Amino acid sequence: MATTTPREHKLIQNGIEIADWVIHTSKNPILRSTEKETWEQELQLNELPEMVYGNNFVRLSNEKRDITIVFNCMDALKLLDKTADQSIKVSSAKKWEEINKNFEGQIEKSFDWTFSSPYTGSILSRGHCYNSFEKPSGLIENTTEKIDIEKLKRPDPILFFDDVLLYEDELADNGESMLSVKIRVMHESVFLLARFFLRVDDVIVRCLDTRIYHEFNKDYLLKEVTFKETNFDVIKPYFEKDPTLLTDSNFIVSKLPTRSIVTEKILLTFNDQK
Amino acid sequence: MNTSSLNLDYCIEKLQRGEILPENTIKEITDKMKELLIGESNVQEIRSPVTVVGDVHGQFYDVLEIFKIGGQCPNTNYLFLGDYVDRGYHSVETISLLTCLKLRYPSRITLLRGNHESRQITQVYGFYGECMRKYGNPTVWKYFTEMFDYLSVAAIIDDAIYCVHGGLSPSAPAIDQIKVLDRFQEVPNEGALSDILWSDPDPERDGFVESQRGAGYSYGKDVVMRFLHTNKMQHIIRAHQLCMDGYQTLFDNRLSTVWSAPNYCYRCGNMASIVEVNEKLERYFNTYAAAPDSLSNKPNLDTNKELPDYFL
Repeated sequence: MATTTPREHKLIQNGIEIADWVIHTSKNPILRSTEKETWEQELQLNELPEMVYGNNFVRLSNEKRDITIVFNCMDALKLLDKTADQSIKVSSAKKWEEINKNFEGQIEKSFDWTFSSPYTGSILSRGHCYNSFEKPSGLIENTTEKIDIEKLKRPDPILFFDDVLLYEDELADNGESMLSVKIRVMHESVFLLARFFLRVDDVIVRCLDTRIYHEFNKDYLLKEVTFKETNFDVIKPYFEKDPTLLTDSNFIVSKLPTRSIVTEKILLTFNDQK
Repeated sequence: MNTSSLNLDYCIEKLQRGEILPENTIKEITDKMKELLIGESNVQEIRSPVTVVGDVHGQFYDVLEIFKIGGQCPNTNYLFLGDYVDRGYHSVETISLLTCLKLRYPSRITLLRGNHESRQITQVYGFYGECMRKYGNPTVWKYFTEMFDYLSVAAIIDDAIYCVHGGLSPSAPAIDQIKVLDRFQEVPNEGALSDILWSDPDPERDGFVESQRGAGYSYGKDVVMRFLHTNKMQHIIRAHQLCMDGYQTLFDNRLSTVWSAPNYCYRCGNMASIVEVNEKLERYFNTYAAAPDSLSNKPNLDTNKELPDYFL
């Protein structure tokens, strides 16, 4: 019979101190329009998602090892393309174009209106912020090890849980684009799922999941990034039976074909001397 | 008004307690509403003083708060700019109450159509699912969406303030053109009827600008100025876009956006407002935050929610 050994911990405001870690979250209202304008300028983006939870974050800090893993809105938006992917248009675009073919006005300034950020978190160490693509040797290494899902299925007590939104957009009622982070801390481990989910109705569904798993007695964390995508035909039959499933992103993600899975280790020994 | 067994005052009280009406009563009120709306013009002429309300999106307890803040019907005249349903958890209660109030005080309350008052959109964004949960079948959803086809699409206050859910259309630069549209149908995907329910102002660019998404327009300051001049109007009040402060004024104070769903989707933390237009046509944005009842009446959609979330 599997049991968990209780571990000393302290609940703090919006977080927990456990092992050598301080794990905490921040949840706030969306940015005001003036703040959004400042962000747009800073990020050099023509448009930001309608709802930007600019002051929200999830942070896992290990001061002793000088390693902090953070998921925040600004870092995610920094990785957005500056222009639109012209291969994706809303479902009514074709008909709309026919009707409006005599339209002689301009087209809106380009931006990735699907807000598909490849963000998988940032790592702070040695006073530097490594973005999702930077892989300094000694800190990040490839691995064949997998996250132990069976262990995560055990109903171990959850000491801390939170669900934090970073941004969302309703795509002018053509679907949804959303980046959110869930975290749970148990006696033996911490598990985090950051999910970018995109649904363009009748066109495409896309999901980028970043899972981070750490057993407190180990010298590394596992980071698994899964990309899933399909056109709407694959999932449409489910909605024809029950339209309410359209807004159930967990259900949709479970039906998507996996395009890639990459697992890496984040090494806590990065800053050890010699 | 009350020729049948329908007791509107009783229905209104019941709804205000947070209870829903039986299916046959919904049939009765939506039938009566269609009879009433069929005689209304596409563009309603109304008189000041009137309080203008933007998107409420099924946030029923915030709608009750609006009547507390702005005054109860019929003591205050109301103009609602649409988007009564979807997103929030109480679309059924919201649209049932507004329908009953309109039937009870037809000259005191005007309801316009928003882009969510459509079969297509409500199937995706919540109203259909809510009707299924609360009534066990899609009949009530069918009654209401049929009624939506009869709603007017614009209103003019004292021949001076033009009010609409989204905004302007390149295919209808004159209000007279909007008056002759055939509105008794599902919201089309394109054309003037679609544009005025869907379009947004663009403070940065002139003209009509096509969206990056491949469908939909935004309209610039010059378009607004031309529309006001052509139609001898002073101002446009519209809704349709979330504003963190509850409202936004653009184009040298010639266009206002009003947003009336505080803490939108129970998580955005935004303010909301209603616009009080007095006899001098002065506009006052009465702002408010989410009603305390709004979050506490959030239903437990997933009965497992109280249990720890063992997400994988």
